[in-house]
Amino acid sequence: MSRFREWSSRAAIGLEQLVAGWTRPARGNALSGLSLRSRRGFRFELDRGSRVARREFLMSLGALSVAWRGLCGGSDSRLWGLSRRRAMFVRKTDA
Amino acid sequence: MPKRQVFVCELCPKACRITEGHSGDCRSRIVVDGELRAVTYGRPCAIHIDPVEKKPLYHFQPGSRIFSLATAGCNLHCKFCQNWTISQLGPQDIRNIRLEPEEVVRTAIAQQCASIAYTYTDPVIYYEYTMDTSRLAREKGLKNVTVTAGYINRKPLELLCTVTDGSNTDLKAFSDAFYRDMCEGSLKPVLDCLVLMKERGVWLEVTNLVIPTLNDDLEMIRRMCKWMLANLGPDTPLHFSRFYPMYKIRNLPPTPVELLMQARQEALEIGLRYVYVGNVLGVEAAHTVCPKDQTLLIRRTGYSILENNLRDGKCPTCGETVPGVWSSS
Repeated sequence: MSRFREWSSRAAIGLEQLVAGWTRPARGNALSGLSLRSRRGFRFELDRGSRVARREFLMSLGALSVAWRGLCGGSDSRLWGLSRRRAMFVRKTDA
Repeated sequence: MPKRQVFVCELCPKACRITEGHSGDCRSRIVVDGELRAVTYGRPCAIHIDPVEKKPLYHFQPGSRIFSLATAGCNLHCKFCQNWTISQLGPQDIRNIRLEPEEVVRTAIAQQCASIAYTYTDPVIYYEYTMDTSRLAREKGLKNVTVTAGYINRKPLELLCTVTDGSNTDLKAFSDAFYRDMCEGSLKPVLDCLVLMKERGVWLEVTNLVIPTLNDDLEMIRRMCKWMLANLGPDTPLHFSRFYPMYKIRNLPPTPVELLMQARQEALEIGLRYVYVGNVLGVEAAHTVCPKDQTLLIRRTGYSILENNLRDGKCPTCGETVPGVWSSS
């Protein structure tokens, strides 16, 4: 893989992580008090309770750190400290 | 241009299509180096020793200690999740410890636990860890318990049933719309899971968390009980559990105790023989009573057993057999 492709791949993973951190279900944008959910189209809803908002803000910081790892180390870095055990019940196909 | 490879995870009905560097909806299965990895294998984020009544299992080795563990993530996203601080996170976002299956079993035995529970989040998403640990636990004479939402495909469930002794499975509502809107799932796979577990001889107890205004319609509860009676039989214990405001459902009050009692009464009238009310302290509906002559069999408060009058799994006065797993052997 060329250096450009490698770095662009890392950047893409990092960006994906960043976006996922802010939009995936059950993650919320605590700063605006809105929860942006992406699974079945976009939908806005108010977070209830500042404890949830605070917690989700911290979760978002966690997602930022994952994004940073993705930028620095590519997909491998997502597994720092985690297992590499092969999953069962998987089927491979082409996109 | 080379085709991009996609991994279809066939563990649960969501059938996530995952590409390199990405995870499934559960956040715990990630494609790395051309393979789908179960990244939480041997990396639990929660470990406790609980009384088995906390699962809740009321007909399964009452009063025993159960080694309970969970890894991060979940394949459902219930807005009322009681364990959302670990279930709605990915394993990268949380502190995990390293605990391989051998160590789980060794520790459980050292702590005098009679069984191991795969719980708190959902064992479906740490399936491989559950399978390997369960096999080892069986070899060492421990029993295995899953506490699950039952959102799993048939094939993996069949395999899981071969190593599972007991299960408390959630039936969150008897409504597909509820599963879709509140949990990002669907009802049918859960019903199929319950039936299959019963068929395969797994000791099954069902929990229904009653949430005011969302799934507390007595007509729906009646339909759920009738389905249970027809498909799981009258002896499958049903726990109506009290809701407390949590996660994204903080605008609703705790479930009124009278409503839980009313739901229990309906279930008993329909023909279910063991119906309990949970998450409420000091109610008679937490006791096990002989359905034939109303003798008090097991008296509970909270997670404690105050009195156990069962004799070899039978009522001491009329000799009626009470279904369950009563001994550790």
